[in-house]
Amino acid sequence: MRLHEVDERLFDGVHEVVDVTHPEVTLARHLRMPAQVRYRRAGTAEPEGDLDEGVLVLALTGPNPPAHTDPDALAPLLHRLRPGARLLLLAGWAVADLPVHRLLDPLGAASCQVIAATPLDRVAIRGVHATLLVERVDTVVTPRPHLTGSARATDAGQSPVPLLRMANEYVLTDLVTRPARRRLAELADRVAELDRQLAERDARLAETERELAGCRSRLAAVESSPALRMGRLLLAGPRQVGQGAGAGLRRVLGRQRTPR
Amino acid sequence: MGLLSAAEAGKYWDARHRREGELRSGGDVSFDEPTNEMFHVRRLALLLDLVGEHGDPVAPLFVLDAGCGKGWFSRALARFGHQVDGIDASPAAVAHCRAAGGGPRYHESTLSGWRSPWLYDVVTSVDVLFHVLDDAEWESSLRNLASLVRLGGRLIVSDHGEPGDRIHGDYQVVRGPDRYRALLAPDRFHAEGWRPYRFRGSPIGFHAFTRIG
Repeated sequence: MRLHEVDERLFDGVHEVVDVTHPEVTLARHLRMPAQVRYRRAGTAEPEGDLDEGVLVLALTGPNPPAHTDPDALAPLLHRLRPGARLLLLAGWAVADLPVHRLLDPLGAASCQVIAATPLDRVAIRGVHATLLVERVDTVVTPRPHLTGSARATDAGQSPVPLLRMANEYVLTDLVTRPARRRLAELADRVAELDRQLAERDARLAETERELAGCRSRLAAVESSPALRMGRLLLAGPRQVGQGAGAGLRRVLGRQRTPR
Repeated sequence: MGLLSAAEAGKYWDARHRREGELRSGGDVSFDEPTNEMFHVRRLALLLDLVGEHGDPVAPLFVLDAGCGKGWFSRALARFGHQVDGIDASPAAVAHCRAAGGGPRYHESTLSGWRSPWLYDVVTSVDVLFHVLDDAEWESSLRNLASLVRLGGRLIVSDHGEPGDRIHGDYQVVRGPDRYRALLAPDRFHAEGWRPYRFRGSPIGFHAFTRIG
């Protein structure tokens, strides 16, 4: 999914985008903002008051400061979001490496909910792997479906059923994920062990190839030596009646019979 | 003409999968293979509309193709980057699928019998449910497929769009849209509508439902 596709109704009700990414990071153009939406840049730490409903904040977090904002540094920004204000948080970590534990506390402390978590196409923006669409909420809402780009959430309304479903899916999925996670760890260990064995084999192979090259070199030297050629000739002599030892010696010594 | 029993229907489908070609075996036997190719492509395009146009190899959609036959739709969905499980009750069909490979994982199972610890983003069943002849088994199948859909996920099943139930021949029992809605609404599925195939006068189309609770 490309950045402007993460939510087909991303700009519904939005009148301003506040871009708090590093000044040298230029991602806003990927959002394809409607013309009527105002755009401005700001720093994460600037004391600019509340960010109200209708504001969409654009931030980039990841492992490489200063281009990436550290998750802890996002906390003051999250606390400035008023109910209904949203944050499109781009992740510079690969999805498999996303440090979820660094995000959960700041989000929860600021009453912010991730309403959509979307992987991004690798070809779209280099170094940005996912987006988290975050909203400051008064009550928990049900999340968006995965990979659809659709804004259809669910009919949370006043009914507790969707939220109970969400909680129950979490608890039961957590349960069945545990053996899968354990199995994944076992397989990762197995892969690491196979990689180690492969590296050892490669090292042995290189050493064996060096020994083989040395042996071939010594064999060539022996085969080209006069002593070996003489020995062969002497062994072949009895089988070659009619060929005198003298002729053989001349061949070994490389001498030619002088024509008379 | 009476309907086939469950055992007779099972034998019929297994024999049909052994006898017929790649597409006719699970498609429309009144069409030849090239026409069935068009028919498959048309239905795939409709599925694409309903499943969505996004795939991701890192965090893929998890899709169940229930009654996958020889796996044409399963393989197509897998080519889009989705992680697909295909199930079918026919040993011949599943053997063909496994030999063909192409990404999906296949299992021999009825629609009502499939069990999984994981929920799916999309559960689809293409032209299968109206071949489930026994009403109780049909209900059990639809309930089981619905139970496999995660919150926010989608159930896509095909049947005729006209109201009321009808029997065609000895191996089709068509149920009207009201039957689907009535069965799924209590489980908090929102009906997204019925999308007709619009192929050579086919009366069939996809019912799409989204789990909202």
